[in-house]
Amino acid sequence: MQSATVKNNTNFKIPAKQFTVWVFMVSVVMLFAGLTSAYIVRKAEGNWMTITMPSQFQASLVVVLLSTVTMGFAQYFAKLQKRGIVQILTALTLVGGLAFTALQLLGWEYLTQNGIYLVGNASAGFLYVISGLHLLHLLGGIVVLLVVMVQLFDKNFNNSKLNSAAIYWHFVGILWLYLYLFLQNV
Amino acid sequence: MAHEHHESFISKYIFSQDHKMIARQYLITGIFMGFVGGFLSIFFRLQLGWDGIDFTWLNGLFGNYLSSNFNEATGDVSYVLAPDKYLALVTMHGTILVFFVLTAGLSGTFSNLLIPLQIGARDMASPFLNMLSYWFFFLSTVIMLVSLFIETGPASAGWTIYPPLSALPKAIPGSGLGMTLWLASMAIFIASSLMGALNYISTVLNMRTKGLSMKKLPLTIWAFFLTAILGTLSFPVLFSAALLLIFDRSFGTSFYLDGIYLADGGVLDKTGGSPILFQHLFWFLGHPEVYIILMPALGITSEVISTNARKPIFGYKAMVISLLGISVLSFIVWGHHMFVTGMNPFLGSIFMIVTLIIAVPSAIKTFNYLATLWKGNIHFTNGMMFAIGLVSLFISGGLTGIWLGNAAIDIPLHNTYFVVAHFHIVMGASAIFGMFSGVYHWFPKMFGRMMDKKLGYIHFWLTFISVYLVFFPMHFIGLAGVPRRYYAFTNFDFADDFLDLNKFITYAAILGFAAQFVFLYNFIKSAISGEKAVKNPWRANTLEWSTEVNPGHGNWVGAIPSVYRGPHEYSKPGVDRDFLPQWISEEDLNQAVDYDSEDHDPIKRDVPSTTQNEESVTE
Ligand code: HEM
Ligand SMILES: [Cu+2]
Repeated sequence: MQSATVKNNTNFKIPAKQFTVWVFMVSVVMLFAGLTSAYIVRKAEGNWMTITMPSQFQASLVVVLLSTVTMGFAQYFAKLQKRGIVQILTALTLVGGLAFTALQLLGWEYLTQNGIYLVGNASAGFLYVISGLHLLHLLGGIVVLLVVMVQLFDKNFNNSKLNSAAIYWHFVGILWLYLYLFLQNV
Repeated sequence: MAHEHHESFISKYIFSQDHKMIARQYLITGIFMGFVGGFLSIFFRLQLGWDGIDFTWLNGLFGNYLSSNFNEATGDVSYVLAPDKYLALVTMHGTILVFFVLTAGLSGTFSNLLIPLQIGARDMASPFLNMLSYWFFFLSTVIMLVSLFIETGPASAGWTIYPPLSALPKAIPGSGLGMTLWLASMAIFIASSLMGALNYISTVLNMRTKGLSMKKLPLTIWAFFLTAILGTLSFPVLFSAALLLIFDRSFGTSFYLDGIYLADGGVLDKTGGSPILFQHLFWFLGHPEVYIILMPALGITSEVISTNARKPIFGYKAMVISLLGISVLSFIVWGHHMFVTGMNPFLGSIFMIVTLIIAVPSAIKTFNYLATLWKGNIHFTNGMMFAIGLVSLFISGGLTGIWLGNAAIDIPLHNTYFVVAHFHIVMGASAIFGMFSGVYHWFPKMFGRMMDKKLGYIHFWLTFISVYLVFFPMHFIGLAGVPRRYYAFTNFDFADDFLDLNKFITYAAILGFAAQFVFLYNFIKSAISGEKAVKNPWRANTLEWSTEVNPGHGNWVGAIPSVYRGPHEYSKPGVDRDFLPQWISEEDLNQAVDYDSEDHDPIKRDVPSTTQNEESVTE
């Protein structure tokens, strides 16, 4: 018997743990918002060297965006219960992540070869700190993907884990899009 | 389900994932840190009262703080506080109280204890993350404490760690290893509070029991929820500030440092850095941080006042909207800490206007507290005394905020004792009072026993009086232009008038500190042998009082109760009982309940037999 005054609670449809991923991403956004606004404030004070972004960073942008596409397809096939395809697509995404990492390192190497060091003008410092911190977040994503890869062999795999990982992966991809455009144009 | 599964000592008391145990861990760590931070303040108050006072009695414990002076003529050795260690003490006092006691100790204790219990959940969304959050906090505590004992002393750049003192390792002794440890400790602390906040937010949004809409949430939960949102949005920015600082210190970048002249005659090998940049980033956290400290205390006060005035909180909606307003505004007012940094006066006036607008929601809350008390049937429990004390302090300290919010008044008052008075009253003391109020009120829920009421009164009055005696006179000292963070005032004629007042303040501070031992004694004694609590000792409406006196892991034996009404239905007109708990359905209410029975346990049937809520079972 149910009392008339009791309404169903208005809880979210998102599972609690996945929601935690969303909140975490908000805090990462704030981290980079802090850094990029510091960049703007510092730049306005002058004594600022304009740096053209190395072509490796462009390439890495393309790679990371492609990897979010493969990730998206992995989610799609997970919904259709096509486990084998999901595994291949997740692996591809992982390869994309590793390629991104390599390209970022090459980009740094190119910068240092052209005399742009962490120490020196603050604009270079920001470039290294921002791209480095982003890379760390992406590496975190790679670790998560590895865990998911392993779990995909488990019979009772449930898609919500894959989805949480995918949400984060899309996020770090789009984050680099923002950071790239910001560093290039601001 | 509540269960009898076997738990080892370690999984029950140390690496516990039960939110109630984690709450107790936070509380005890917080109280410990409170005593450490308080002790440091007595130490430097003694120096302020009696410049060069002899600290021989402390030499064993605090050798590195005290420089020995050998008097050739008499052959005496005296130990006095070294000036740079004075700075170290103020820095650590502020850091410990602001972050370790009033952020982690307050939010960590009560968000953990009350969120699952008051929303009808068996635990947090992620109990594991919750446990991790405590142990990160513990680790950061240890690092911060260790830094007190290193040779060169702990960080000494103030709790706001402005560069260049914080950015240049050789600036002062505390800028070296002490500052490094401070940064390490705070980085871990930030991770801890983020983990806590993530959990609080998703638990409140996702795990409320049947019938508990956001509109029926107790104000405690609203406050904890918004506090967690503030934390998620602002702590990462502090992290980014600290990150750039670490790069400046350790990797030679120049984010905050310019080619400044050094004491040894040289010029620093840096170009173009801006210390003001740090201040912007710091206060973007720093101002929300003061509300991260205050809002949980305001939430606790709301519930305690409503329960003990036996009246609904006046203007529940207005209370929620004010909390929301304060939360939003707190992100756009940080510039009021920087009026004297040479900011464009136009920008200054914008910061001034938004700052003064914060007074509106603050005043609404104050008004509502008073209106709730008005003609209430007030029960002066210890919790209630501290809650009313908070209202008093919040008014006294809020008024000086309105002074300081005006750039023209702030410019002469900035960095004087007036500011010290303002924020100690409005934030420090208010939030501590909120915390005490919560401890006295929820002690029965945490430890299954009651605290001693008489000792509670003694604790309250001594604390209340000494807070005013310590901080009220500081307004006058500040108005006369006496700056904060000075080691001694004996070298300036204009400050001579205040030497006696400084002694007086020190006496009052010692009184206030001593009073805390009354609390400590009461706390420990009551936890061990206090009077056994009944299920609902304050006849309150919220869900935590529907559990067993000592709820097990899982909180409710049997089904989780549903919620049928808002949290503040006290003395409802036309109803013959003076409180209507959230968890009792209308039908059950109509059956006579004997709530004046022998055991003072007003609610006989705590788990409504009529409801099932199985989908909320998490285990
Ligand atoms: C009516 C509301 C308030 C206004 C208008 C206000 C305004 C101000 C201003 C302008 C300052 C800067 C003074 C200076 O450094 O020259 C200040 C300092 C401060 N306020 Fe408030 N305040 C208000 C309420 C609060 C509340 C509620 C809290 C805490 C819960 C708080 C905590 C602080 C702290 C911690 C500082 C000093 C930080 C430091 O320099 O170390 N204020 N306030
Ligand atoms: Cu402020």
